[in-house]
Amino acid sequence: MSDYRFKVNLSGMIEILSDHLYSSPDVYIRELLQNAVDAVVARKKNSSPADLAGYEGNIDVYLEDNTLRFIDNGIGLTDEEIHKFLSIIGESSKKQLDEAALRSDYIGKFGIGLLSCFMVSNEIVVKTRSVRSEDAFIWIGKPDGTYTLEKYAEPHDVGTEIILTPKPECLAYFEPERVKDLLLHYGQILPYPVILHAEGESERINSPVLPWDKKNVDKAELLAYGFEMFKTKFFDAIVLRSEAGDATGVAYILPYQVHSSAKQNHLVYLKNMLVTEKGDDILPEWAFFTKCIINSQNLRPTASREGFYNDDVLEKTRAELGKCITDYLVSMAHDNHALFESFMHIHELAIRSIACANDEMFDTFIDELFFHTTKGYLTGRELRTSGEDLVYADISEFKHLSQIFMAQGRLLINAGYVYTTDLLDKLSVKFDLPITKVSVDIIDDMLVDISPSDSETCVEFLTIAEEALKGYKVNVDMKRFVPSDMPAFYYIDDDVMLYQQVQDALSQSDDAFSGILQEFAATVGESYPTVFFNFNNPVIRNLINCKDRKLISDIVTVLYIQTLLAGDFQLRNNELGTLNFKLLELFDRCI
Amino acid sequence: MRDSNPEYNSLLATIDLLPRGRQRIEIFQKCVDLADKNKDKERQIKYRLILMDESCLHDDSLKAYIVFPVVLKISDELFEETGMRPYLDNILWQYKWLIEDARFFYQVKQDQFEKLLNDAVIRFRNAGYGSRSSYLHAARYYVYSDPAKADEYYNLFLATPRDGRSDCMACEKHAEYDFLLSKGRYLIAMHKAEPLFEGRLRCADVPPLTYLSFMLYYSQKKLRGEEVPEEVMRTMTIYAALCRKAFTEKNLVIENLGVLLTYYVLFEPNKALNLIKRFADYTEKYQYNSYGVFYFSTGMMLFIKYLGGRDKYMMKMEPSFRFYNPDNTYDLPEMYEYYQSQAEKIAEGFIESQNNGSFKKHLELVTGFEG
Repeated sequence: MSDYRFKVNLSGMIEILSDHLYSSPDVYIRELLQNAVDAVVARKKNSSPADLAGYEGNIDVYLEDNTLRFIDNGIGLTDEEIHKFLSIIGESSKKQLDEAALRSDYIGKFGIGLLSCFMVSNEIVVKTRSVRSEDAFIWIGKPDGTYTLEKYAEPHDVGTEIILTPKPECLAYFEPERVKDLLLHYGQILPYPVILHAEGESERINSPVLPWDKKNVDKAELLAYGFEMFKTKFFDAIVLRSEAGDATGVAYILPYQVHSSAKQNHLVYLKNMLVTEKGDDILPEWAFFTKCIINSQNLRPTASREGFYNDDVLEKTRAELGKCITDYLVSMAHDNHALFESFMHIHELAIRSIACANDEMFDTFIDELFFHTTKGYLTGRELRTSGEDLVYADISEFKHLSQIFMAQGRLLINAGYVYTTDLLDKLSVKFDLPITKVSVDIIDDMLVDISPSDSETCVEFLTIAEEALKGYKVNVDMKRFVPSDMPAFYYIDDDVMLYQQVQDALSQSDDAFSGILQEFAATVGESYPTVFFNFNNPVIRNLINCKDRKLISDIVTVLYIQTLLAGDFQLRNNELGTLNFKLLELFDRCI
Repeated sequence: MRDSNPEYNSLLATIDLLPRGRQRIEIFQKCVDLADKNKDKERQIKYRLILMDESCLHDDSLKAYIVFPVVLKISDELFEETGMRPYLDNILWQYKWLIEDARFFYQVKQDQFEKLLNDAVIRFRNAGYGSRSSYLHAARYYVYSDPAKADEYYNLFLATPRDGRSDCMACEKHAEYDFLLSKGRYLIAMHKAEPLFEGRLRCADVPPLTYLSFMLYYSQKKLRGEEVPEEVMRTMTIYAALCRKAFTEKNLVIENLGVLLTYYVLFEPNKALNLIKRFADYTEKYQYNSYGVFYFSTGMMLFIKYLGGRDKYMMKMEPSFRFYNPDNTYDLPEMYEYYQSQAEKIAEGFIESQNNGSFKKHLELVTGFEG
């Protein structure tokens, strides 16, 4: 048996890199910046303090005659290192370092970065002189896997110069505006000056100090920086710090509502180099109302360096950054209530959703959230300390029940607002409060039974009412309740509603569906809504004593349809026509 | 989502900010009511279809059966009046869902299913489409009750070419896999599902649904006392985590939750309680979905068995839980009895209406399981 070595087809590799690893050829600038920064770091690490006197890392980018020259004054390479690192794919000058050193000092790791230049150029020229050597070398690599290496005759400073000439179809990637944008995009927060020399001008691309790293952070400056980076006037800015990820940055609060599943595409930098502009994992999911810029020294990048490994460090970093946001919002709620109210005005939906999903956020915000009730808008704190039975109803039930609850001075919460029931459930668990959905039993409690002797007087009336409303499939009953000016009250619960929906569908369905719907109707169970007449109401009392059966029947029908209209219930059986007809009959009798 | 009519727009104001589920369904129901009130037939169809879409995927698909006949009626009326059939492709697409979901409801008897299928086939044909996917779902409907008929429909599926109203490739592959697995043709099923398991073919629901079919197959093996290979168990751990995520994010049709619960109790019991807590009100919320309630109930029975014959058990549950007790103590025999009666009722229902004894068999495996 013999051992053989795999052979690598370099042009195939480049195709893989461009099609599958890197999201766009734009990344060639990022890879060049990355190598330059690592070279500067290596020089600093490997030189004595004396050698470093007066040394400052610099990255210069020249664009002349469609050629890009990328120059750093980092450690440079010896001829041996050139053979080893530039000519073996997957070999990196940083491979020999342990994980800790890599994490703390260098950005690159995999030894494939330079290959990305083949996406935009058919030749990579590297002129380099190591800090450990007097000789400079010129290496010329081709995408077919061949390269040349020779001594460079002319004097050369310590450092590396990479020269790229664009492929005809890649000219756009070498236009000064594009290169400037890319340098700004990837190198905005690099700690060494990045200077672009193009069209006869030289311009420093990156800011010397980041606004969130200043001793006294200026909110206006942070917001201005946010505007420059994202072209958005943010609502507010929160400084972020994480020990685990050795990260700093800023979270901007969006000035508009967003969906909870919206991806915010945070800008995430590793050792000051942009790693991803789609960093959705860096903040907790609930922080979807922010857009952030984070610079970490300690996260572990994936091979494409466009994301991070989802490891413990990332998890801890995410939690710490999340805490910065919650701490800030809590202090905003306490110290600057006007600002907090404006914040809630925009992001209440977001906060409600967060509070549902996250216990800590629930604890933080529940007292500040508003609930629509029959006693006006009450906060979570007011609800939990009210000492009242907490009963809620969905929006349609709330609409027709609120009158009776208000008249009796009872609290009913409108659960028609998004996330209300989930929040109430949590409130119930957290504060051990019984919270219930309105039900027939609760309604029954509010509607007082009449005495047996009164009941006897109502028998005739209820019989006529039952007969009059037979066609509408409702039950009738007599109770006492306030407000007394309310003659009747119509109640339909969820089961009745479902039964009605099935019946409606049945009445409109053809042979293909009728059998199935009949079976469903049987499963749901026959049930009807109830009309409660109010024994306290003078009109009802008069009707009870009335001997004119026709008059009772007509008025009962009118009252029934009125309750439907008042409660905004759907009319199904030409009720409006009936109402009109009955009213005209009644007018006629009066005249 | 916007509507050119401001009346509807005001109802839809927050729709894009809401997650899938109950909240959105309520808003679409209001749009349906408004369209009914306005007698705006196009919107009556449009919002009912959206309502069906939301409820089929994120709520109880019973709602779809209630809504759809009205859609067909209005569509036929509109055709009579104008010669036009707006939203026809959507209507047919959702009709197919009803055919697929029929096996989840014991209320859909075989003769009714045949009527439904025949009507659907005619409507598809009139619109210039074949009924490939409907045939495959019909095969799944009959797989336990009438194997010959199931094969007949499966052959019709194979003989009908794909067209614009066929399920997506991933869903179709999954449905075929599920059918073959139910037939006991394990190897060919696994072969067919290779692109799904390898992640080469996927959609919003698949492969998580395929993982669930796989997990149910091996859960039943374990219930029968058969050995489950170590590598299968390792694989299922990953599948379960992915399914759990899909359920939590409300991306997966909810009727399958009980299958995941069954798997957890049998293979990763420590994770079962969290799932139960998260979906404590399942049997109430989805009470009309026979399939969903059945597997959730049998899953609960297994969980109670797993607790080892105790009478009382302490657990912190949400108030929406049917047996919620603020002192956190639960009477296990009472709970077991309830879930068993739910499962028995459904299993009997499936035998009676569809001649499908598979639920009864599963229930027997669960009641006889000793752990």
